[in-house]
Amino acid sequence: MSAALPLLILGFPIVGAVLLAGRGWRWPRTLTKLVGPGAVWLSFLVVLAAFYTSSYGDFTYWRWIKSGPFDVPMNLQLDHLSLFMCLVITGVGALITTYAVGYMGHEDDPSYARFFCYMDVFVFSMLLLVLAGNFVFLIVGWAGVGLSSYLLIGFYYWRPSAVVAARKAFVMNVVGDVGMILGTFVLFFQVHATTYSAVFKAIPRQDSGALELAAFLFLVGAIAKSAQIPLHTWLPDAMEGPTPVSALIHAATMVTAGVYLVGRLHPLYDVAIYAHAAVALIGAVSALVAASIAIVQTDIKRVLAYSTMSQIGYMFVAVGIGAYSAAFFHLLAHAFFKALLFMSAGNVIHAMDDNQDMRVYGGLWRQLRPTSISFLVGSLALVGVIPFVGFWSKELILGSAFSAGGNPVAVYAWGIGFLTALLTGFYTGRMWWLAFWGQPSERRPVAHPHEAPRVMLVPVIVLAVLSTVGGFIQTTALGLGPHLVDDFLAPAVGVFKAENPFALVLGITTMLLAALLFLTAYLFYVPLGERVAGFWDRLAEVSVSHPRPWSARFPRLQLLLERKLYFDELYDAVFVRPLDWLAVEGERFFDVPVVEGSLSGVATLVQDSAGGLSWVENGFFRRYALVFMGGAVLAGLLLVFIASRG
Amino acid sequence: MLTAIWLLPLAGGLIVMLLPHRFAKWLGSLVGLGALGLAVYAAYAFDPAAHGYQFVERSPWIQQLGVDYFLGLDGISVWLVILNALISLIAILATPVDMRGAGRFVGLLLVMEAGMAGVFLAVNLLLFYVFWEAMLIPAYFLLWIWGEGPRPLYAALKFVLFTLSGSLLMLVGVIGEYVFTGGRTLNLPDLAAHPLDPAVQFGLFFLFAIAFAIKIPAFPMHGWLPDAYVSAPVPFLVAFAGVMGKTGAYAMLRILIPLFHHPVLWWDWNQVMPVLGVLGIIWGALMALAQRDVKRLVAYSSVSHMGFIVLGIFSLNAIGQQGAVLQMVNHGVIIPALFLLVAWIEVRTGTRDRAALFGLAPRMPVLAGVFLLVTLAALGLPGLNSFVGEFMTLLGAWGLSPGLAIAAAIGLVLAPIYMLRLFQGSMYGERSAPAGLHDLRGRELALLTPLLALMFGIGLYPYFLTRVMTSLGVPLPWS
Repeated sequence: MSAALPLLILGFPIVGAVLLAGRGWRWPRTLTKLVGPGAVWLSFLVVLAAFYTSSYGDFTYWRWIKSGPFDVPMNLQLDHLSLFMCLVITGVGALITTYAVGYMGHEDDPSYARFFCYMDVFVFSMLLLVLAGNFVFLIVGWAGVGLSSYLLIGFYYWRPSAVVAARKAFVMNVVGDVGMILGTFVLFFQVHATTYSAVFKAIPRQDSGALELAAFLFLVGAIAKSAQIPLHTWLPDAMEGPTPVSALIHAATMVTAGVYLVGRLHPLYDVAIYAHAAVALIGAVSALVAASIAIVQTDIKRVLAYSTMSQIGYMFVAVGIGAYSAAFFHLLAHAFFKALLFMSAGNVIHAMDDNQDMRVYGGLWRQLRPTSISFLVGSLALVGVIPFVGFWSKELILGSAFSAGGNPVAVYAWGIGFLTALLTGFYTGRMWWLAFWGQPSERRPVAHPHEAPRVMLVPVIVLAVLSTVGGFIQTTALGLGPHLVDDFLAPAVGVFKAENPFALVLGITTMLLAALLFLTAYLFYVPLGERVAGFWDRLAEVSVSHPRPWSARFPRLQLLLERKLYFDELYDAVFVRPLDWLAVEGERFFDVPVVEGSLSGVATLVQDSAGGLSWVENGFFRRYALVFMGGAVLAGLLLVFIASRG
Repeated sequence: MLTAIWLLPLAGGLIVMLLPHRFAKWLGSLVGLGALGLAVYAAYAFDPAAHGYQFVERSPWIQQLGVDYFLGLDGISVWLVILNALISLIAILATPVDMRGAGRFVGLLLVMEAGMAGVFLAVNLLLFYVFWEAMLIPAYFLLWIWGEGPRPLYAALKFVLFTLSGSLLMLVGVIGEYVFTGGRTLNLPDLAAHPLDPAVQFGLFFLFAIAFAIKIPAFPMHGWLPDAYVSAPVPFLVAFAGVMGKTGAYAMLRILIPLFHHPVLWWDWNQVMPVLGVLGIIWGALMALAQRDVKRLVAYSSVSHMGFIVLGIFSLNAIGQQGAVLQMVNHGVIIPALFLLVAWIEVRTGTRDRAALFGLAPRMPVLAGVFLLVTLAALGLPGLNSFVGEFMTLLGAWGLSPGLAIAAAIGLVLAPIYMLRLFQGSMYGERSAPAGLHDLRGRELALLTPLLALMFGIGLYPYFLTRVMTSLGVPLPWS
């Protein structure tokens, strides 16, 4: 029975996707509404069943390939880590697909079915990614989520920007796939195995150089999928997709696959210490860079995209220093609050007639109360304010980094993480005050917005509740209370032990400073005349009332951040344009004259001189063939002659 | 039974050519179906546990020269024989009924099928050569008479000149092989069992290698391909691109490596062919990036895919070579589907210019969905068939030299760029294409269905194909 559970978990979404792809666009919409999210809900129920019955194991279904030592079974591994991931994927996924029933309501029937088909393909691929029991099927799932991401980013295919963004995401993810493929090769030639169990058993006996190489190659895959520097440029553009997609794929689940990968391969990274340190450093730098870019973005979804990149940076820091369960706790927390933020932002965007520019919102607090409260809950969780879930998980990561004594990288990572936490407070505050506070902007597209329908509100409220109380499953950031996540994941990723008495004090300080910056943003982004009278007014007198005072003072910094550190321009100049140039010039100067020209000169001559079919009669071809035949016969005779002599 | 596999389409083809045009298509389809049935039956009766050739048919043929009529089927050829029969059947079914000279066209397709089947079945070098030439003759005529575009004659002539040069080099090679072995036999197993003097092997290697490389075509012998593919009528192109290129790759596995393994294994020479394979992968992909004509783009993508096959074959280990054979089948499944789709798009819109195509998806959702699947298979999406082949050829290449695998992996990154440009450019766009374009018809979808099924099937269970390929690979150090 338990061998059937992983197949059932995978089966519901894929069957849903096939049904929707085959007939869905001719179905009545009600059926699409049932099948699309229903498949995910059913899968969630099976995951819950597996959770309660503790059906763990490594199940082999068929032999995928065997060629000499290259022997890959089709096996699925249901352990604590994959079950944890399955809970997040199907749980949050079910809420988001339900939300999408309302959000995508404006689309016509074929697009509506197409959307849920893609979503189900995504859920299937993501589940395959986490359930795979060997490296090859990991890559299959890995590429599958890349594909669904591509499809969903390009969902509005009549927008050229969406089409380009989709292709960009796909190609960048393929770069990551290639890294994973080559990493698998390195491991295979080291240990001659491809299943997790066999590879991890053999790892301690291996040469560390090759393991470092493999770990770095897998890291390429991880940073491409998780949008870490330098393969991050696709994620902000991915916001071209519908908002539920941003919530599910580009915030809650897919982009955390890199974190899952490092956690899954922890026996490898525990040995490959340089690659492991690189994970933490890349995470820390990405967190800081993304948070600083988020300060200047004006598109509400792009701010959330950069904040996603930044929060995943935290998770990379955690897995990079070996605090795996802290990373997965933050992954869970992030899935709650970032899905919440995206979906509340989706409600706002819906109410604002699909305008995503925060500068034209303003004053939504009074008009969209439930959505505003949800967004505030998400914001506070993102900033890391006690008691919201983000506080417990983020402080756990920062505390672990600060306490990890023997690890020189961890301290730097903590420092950068601390700075990032402050920036997070500021940009989140900016987003909140700009969009929801003050007076409605004169440029606002809709003067009297309507609150979202119930099907969109209920999932948001569920996530708001989870973001509020979800943190109480593990409160070790304060050094006391339950530690359910640690306990649950201990069999899969071990326990991270590091204690430092100052960590607690620093954690509280971080939170207070971040919260203060959240409030400070009020002074910057709510015009003086619209502020609440009283204490803030007096504080405002000593501050500047210009909306963007810091940027006025540092225009170059502002530009640098608005241009996202010029990564896009760099890649365009280094890869995209030279490639096209090479292709065009290569064809003009090599392929046409040399490769094609080698015999076509003769052909052209024949055709030009003869024209039409008459070339057959004029004898040129016959002569040509004759010469060749004669040459062949001569060569043959020569060979006979040589052989008879020898 | 093996004789029937090539004799049936030959006889059928000749009869179809003589009958009135209106019977041509259904009779041709019937013959093609019969050939497919025979091939599938052979695979069904094939014993996966046994080594060596099965269903062997052997009798003296030219007794004065000691040449046998010798046919056999092994774990490699069995799949290619099926592929040949399947793709040829699809080609016949894709032939428009109102085509000029449809009877002769279908007949020639069947004759070509017979020739290709013979190439895959022959176990005697001279017999192989005869079939090799026999499959070219119908191909010449199909390209000459039914060629499309501005310069069909030019394209056909170029193809003739290239392949004829190759064939003649091979003829010299066959004579040389016969002479140097002392004129006793030309049966492949005997030849492989008694390798020639290394210096002679070296000379003969190049004669055969060039002949096969032109046919594949491997870089830099691909000069004939773009023009020939662009001017070829699509039903012919399906069989031409889908199967005929594989005869060259198959010959490399069957003849070049067993008979002339000394140059292949000799110091740096073992790197030459793989490097050509890698160059083909990257160059084909680059050229595909530069194309505006979608048919030409697909043609160049084919050059890139064939590079993987060459790389796998000359990785000289079982993984790479099994991957190469898988890739032959995969390419034979994907390329016909791509060319058919491109052709149907051209029929509907009247253009093949990438820049002139836009917004087709809203007008033809089914075609768009199928095109997407085929695009994904072509760019090697993990889970579909091409991924298995590419993964294994790269793994094999890594076993030979990691640098080769890394360089070849660049092709994996370029593939989505050109394939998605093609797909997105034609299917998506700010504006929808003009109304009145007919979506994929049921008949057309039915033609693609077996190909789509194979794309998924091979991706999920490739071991079904590779488990019989036991004869491949030079033993590896670690096995």
